[in-house]
Amino acid sequence: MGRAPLTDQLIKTRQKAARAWAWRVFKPEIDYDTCIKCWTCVNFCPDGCIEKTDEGPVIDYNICKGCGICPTECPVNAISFEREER
Amino acid sequence: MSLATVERGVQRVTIPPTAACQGCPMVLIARTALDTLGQNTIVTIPASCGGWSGIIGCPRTGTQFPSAAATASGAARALKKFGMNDTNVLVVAGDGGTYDIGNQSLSGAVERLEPIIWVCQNNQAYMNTGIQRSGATPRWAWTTTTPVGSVNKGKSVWNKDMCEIVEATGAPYVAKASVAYTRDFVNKIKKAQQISTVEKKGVSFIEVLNTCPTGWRYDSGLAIRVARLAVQTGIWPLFEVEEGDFKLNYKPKEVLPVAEYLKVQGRFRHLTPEQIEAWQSRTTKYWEGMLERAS
Amino acid sequence: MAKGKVDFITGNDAAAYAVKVCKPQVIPAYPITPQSPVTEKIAEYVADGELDAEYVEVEGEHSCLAVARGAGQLGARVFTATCGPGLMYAHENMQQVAVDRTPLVMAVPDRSHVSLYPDLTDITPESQSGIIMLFCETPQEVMDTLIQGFKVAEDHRVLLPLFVCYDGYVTSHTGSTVLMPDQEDVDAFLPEYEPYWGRVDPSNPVISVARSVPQMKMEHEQAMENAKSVIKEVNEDFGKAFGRKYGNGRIELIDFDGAETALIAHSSLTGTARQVIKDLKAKGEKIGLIKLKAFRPFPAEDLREALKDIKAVGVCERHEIPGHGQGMICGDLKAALYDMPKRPLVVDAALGLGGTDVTVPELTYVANAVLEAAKTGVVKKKLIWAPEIGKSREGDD
Repeated sequence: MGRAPLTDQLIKTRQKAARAWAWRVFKPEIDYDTCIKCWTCVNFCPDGCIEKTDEGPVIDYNICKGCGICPTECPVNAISFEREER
Repeated sequence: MSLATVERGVQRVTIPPTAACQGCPMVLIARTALDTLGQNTIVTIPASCGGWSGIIGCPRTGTQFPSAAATASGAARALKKFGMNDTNVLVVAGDGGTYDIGNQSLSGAVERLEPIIWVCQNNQAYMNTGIQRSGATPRWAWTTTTPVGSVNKGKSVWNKDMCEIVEATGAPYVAKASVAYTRDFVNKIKKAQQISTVEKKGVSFIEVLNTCPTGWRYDSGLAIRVARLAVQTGIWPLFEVEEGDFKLNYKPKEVLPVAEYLKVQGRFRHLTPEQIEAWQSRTTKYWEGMLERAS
Repeated sequence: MAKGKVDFITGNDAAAYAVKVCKPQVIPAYPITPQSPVTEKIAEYVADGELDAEYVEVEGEHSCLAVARGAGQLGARVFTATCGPGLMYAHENMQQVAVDRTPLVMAVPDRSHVSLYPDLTDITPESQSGIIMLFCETPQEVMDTLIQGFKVAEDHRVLLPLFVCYDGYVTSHTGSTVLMPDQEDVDAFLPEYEPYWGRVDPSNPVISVARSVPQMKMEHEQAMENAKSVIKEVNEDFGKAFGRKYGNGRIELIDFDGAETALIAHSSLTGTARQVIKDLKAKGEKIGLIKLKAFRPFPAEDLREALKDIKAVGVCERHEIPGHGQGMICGDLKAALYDMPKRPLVVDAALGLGGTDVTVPELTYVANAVLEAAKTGVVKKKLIWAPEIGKSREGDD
């Protein structure tokens, strides 16, 4: 058995290898004009893919699996959920 | 980032991505618990969907399925011997590891007043191994071992109520929480930390309904909505019992009929009107019991 | 030479005293006959403040081993005691403790799976898992082996769980004179436990890099090989510090000068065998006794060396594997002898199963079978069952 320190580099390598984005069929996209910065999407995203920034919530599409929770929970319907073109 | 993490500005303890299903509330539960407690935690995760919580940035013990409570007890005693008195000991177990195979060691740990925070993410079946029924599966639910055929139609008996069992065994803190009510859940984790880690009074038991889209057969985008419905119908009331003092944390303005909750889920698709009526009367009785205890 | 107090105590009390002076940090405990007095005595030491340990009264042996595993993973020194069906119940977690390479020391007053009394069926399921197992003949040896056991198990070349096995009731509940070493002398002999990866440190996140299971198993194999020499070293060191040692730590040759035949015995059977060998030698027979102390790792090299000029050897064991026509120890012995160009004839004796008494007449019968095999060059019966010895059991010769 071996041990390695948990560095940012190791995390990035793991995230790249996991290819979670490949699970996605539908893609959530935020309309920042409608968004009221209530951070409900940030709160309810299971994997924690959405980051709270000054500009508003930002989705990390490397790890978003397209589950559909953020478009469902957004109180002002600011998130679209269309089939992703690939 | 969960709201809790961002507000408190602490280092995330669980790092995505996870191998969990799309929309899995378990990830939200594990993240909320770990991020609230922080890095100074030893976590024990027995066989369950919880094993897919992503990379965890705090020490994690290895345990066999029946032994999560015992392994965590050993960890807690070692920490005591080392003088590490503010390190949290957390268990994130599924319903199988709490109600069935893990029941014995949990019972022993509660009775011994071990300083453990137990978060049961209850998805009401053995989801990780393919949706087999457990002691937490509710009546008439479809599972792969209680399928709906021409003779048998779903699970024939009601589920256990683990909160009552743990309270009767003597735990100083027992609560039900929900992924749809984040602030309440975070408050309960903090209360558990105070009671178990700081005051070392015993096991804090928090049960969270994990509204599994894959096993309950509905669209993953509705996961939080189903969790909210469970609370608003009285099926999953938000309460806490702190050393015998009962508190009902949330009373919906209007208690919705259970049919609203059942009709969303494919696992209850075959329910007859009589069965839905049985569900309703049982739930009404349970909810009224909550109201009475609160008064 | 170390000093100590002399007292008349049982094997279980000796084990408990050894635990007290070795100072484990976490001790889970669950009662089972005949082990309960060990944990009861330890509870008394803890209650009186003579031992500062976390004593955990668990709800079952399965959880007992899980508590030991959890505490061991964090880097604590752990001890527990179990036997018989309790050890079988703990089997799931026992395997994991071995795989984790936690140096858990366990007192195992052997108990049969079909009676309260001793045989080796309780350690059988654990015997293929890379756990060190040392047999003890007397309460003194139980005490000494337990103290040595921590040093062997915690050595960084080893890091394996270790069983201190002794016959339930026969050794665990019978008293004899024991020299109990002082705390200072044990502290000088046994240093504090240094976990290989250090104690758990939540502020320093690391990730376990899982190598393949075959690689893990190869490392485990190496550790068991290393254990052979570490057992010998620790036995020597103990001899220097306390004035007592047990052969080379792995086997002991008793009355072996000029021997052309031999008996192999383990645990309390050794004590009875000593008398049998002495009587036969007085009659002029050229027979010696090998006491098997280390069962795991199996001392193949030592036995090959001891038996290289021996014509016939008898294995006296409290064990038999249904359908194999032999017990564990005979099987391991024959495997060890296989590659020798010249090897002795082997007679196996399944004695004392279920904890039945093993008497001088029984062992004499087995020794006579060995002597006959050496004379004729033929083994008449490969396996002798104790009930078939029949009338020769009645009364003492």
